Amino acid sequence: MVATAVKGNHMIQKGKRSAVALSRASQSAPDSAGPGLDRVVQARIGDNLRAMYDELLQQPVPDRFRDLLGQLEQPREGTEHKR
Amino acid sequence: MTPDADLRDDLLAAVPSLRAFAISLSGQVDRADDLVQDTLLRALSHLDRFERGTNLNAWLFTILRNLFHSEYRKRRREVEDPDGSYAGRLKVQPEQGSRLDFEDFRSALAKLPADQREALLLVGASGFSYEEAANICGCAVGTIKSRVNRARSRLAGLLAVDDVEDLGPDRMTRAALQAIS
Repeated sequence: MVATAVKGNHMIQKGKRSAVALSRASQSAPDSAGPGLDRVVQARIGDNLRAMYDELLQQPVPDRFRDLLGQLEQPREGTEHKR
Repeated sequence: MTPDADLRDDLLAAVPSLRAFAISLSGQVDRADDLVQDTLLRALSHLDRFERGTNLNAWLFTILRNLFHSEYRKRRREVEDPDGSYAGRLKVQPEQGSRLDFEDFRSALAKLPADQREALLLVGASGFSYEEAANICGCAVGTIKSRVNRARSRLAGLLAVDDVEDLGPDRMTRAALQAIS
C-alpha cells in the first residue's frame, strides 16, 4: 500500500494503518492533530474509491451490450428518433 | 457516419461507467449487467426524450439509478445486507495480479446507507459534479453534499474501526504513537 503523499506531513509515510491511526490518535490528542489529518484519511478514501472504480472500468464490455447496440444499425420498428 | 452509429458509439462508450456504477451500487455483477441492459433498452426506447448535446452519461445514469431504486423497493429484503454479503459478492472481481487490496474498503462501502453510497459513487468515483449528481438523484445539491460528507466520515470511521480490530488495542496504541512521533 503506497502511503498517501501530503505535502509537509511526514507522519503519514507509514502507510494506511498509520494514516488511520493518526485520525484515532487525534481524538485523544487534539493538540497534535491538525485539520490535515482528516485530509489524509479523506485522501485515502478517495484514492481507494477511485482505484476500486478504475478496476471496474477496465473490465471488458460484455458482448451482450455490443450485440444489443449493434441492433441500432437496423431500422427499429415503431421508434421515431428525434434528430 | 450516420447519427445512429454515432449514438451507438456513445452508448457503447458509456457502458463501462454504467457497469462500474451498477456493480458498486448493487454489489452483484450479474444484476448490474441486467440493470445496464435495461438502462440501454429504456434509453433506446426513449431517445426522443434525450436532448442531443446534453450530457448523455448523466441521462443514462439517471435511468439506471431509477431502475435500480424501483427494483430495490421491490426486492428490499434481498438487497439489504445485514451480514455483509454485498461485500462478499463484490469480491467477484477478476483476481488480477495488479489487483490492489480493496477488501476492507469494499466491506466498509457496503455498510453505508444506499443513498450515501450512491452519492459518493456519483461524485467521488463517477466524476459528476454535485449539481449533476443532484439532477441524477432528483434531490437538492445540498442533500448530495450532505450525503457525500456523511458517506466520507462514515467510511473514515468504519475503516478506522476495522483497523483497530485488526491491530488490537496495544498495537493500535503503538501505531498511533509511532505515527505522531
